[in-house]
Amino acid sequence: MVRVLLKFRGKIVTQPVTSQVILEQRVPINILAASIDQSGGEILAEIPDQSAQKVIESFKAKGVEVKVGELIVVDKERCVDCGACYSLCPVNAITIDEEYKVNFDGNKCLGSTCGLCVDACPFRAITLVR
Amino acid sequence: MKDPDYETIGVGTRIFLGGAQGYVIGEGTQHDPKSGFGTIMVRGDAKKMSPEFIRGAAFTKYGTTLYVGIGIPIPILNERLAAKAALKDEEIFTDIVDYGVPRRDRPKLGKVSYKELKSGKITIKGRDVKVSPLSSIRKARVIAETLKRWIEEGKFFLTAPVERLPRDTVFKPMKQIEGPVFLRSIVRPAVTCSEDEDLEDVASKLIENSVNHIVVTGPDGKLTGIVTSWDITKAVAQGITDLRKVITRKVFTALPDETVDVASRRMAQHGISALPIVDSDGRVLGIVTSEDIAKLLGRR
Repeated sequence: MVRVLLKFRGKIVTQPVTSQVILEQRVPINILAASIDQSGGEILAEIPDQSAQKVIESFKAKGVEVKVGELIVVDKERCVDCGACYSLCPVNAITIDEEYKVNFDGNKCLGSTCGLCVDACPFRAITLVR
Repeated sequence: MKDPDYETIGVGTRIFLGGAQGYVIGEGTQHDPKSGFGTIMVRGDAKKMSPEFIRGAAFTKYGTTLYVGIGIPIPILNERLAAKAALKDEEIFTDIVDYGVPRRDRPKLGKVSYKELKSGKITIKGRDVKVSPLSSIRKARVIAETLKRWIEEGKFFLTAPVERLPRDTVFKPMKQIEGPVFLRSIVRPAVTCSEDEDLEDVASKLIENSVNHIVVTGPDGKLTGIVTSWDITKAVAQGITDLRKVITRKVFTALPDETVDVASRRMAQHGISALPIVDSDGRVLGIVTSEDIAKLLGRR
């Protein structure tokens, strides 16, 4: 599965864009988190690997901004592995290993649709990719 | 925790402090040995410290703070100290405290061992709850290793405390005493009318704004009287149609920097249910009703 962050801005929020893409491409898209109002918003979705490219192209053609890749950036210089973020993560993307090192799993992270760890970090080491 | 009776920790104990060497100079302000929560006051030379072990931080909705790396060497001088220092995580317990209760003396939800805490998950009232350390265990190990190396290399010499930390004092948190609430902070805009308005119009103003008091003001915004829903009801019953005959001229008022206590006493004293808030020139700034005060007290 490929994780994509779909950003909707302006008039397209009134269109059933996601449904159109699903119907046209005949690909099941898994919506993990969504936050949209009249002024725009974001959807975090999973697309099957083999059809990722054409689905992304289809979204782009409809005026949706598509982001693929890391949703948060952790500044390892600032992080002291205190673990403040660990217990807040709703999807268990943050783990503490046997060496008490804090690790982030980009494949589970909800990014800007969540962001709980960002405020929790005492060292402001976590930033969302915008 | 590994020296719970402070046999080796006291005034003058040399420690690892922020990457340099420092000293324990006494107990900390929240030292609570009877509950097993010892704290220490330390001193050191910040210029010799390293950002790896001392760092500014911020807790959202709490404030700024400092993360300070401290390492205290515990010399194993006898069997008793060895036994205490050998305490395992499963033998060290702490309370689960409910910080959701906005009170100094917060309720305790149970006890957990450090082993359970370090597993990353504890059970509270039958529910699994993830737990975070907040202080870095990884950094603590780096500090322990660094201190060990310093001692082995002869760079760090242990000291015996000149005086032990107190073991019998109790930490009493200060009771939060409610400060005075000033009318300024609860005043609402007053619904006003002028002397020459129709009684009917004033009556509909009461209903439209769902209030019981209308403040009468002159053209300069100064208070000239007050009309209550009771006054209007009485006027209707008596067939009075002139607003001027209904207005109460002798009005009790309050200044914005008077307290709620003073205002409620004044209302009780004169058997009234609202006080227009005016400035020193008599200009109307708003109104405070007994309902507003009741709501305020209900929230406490």
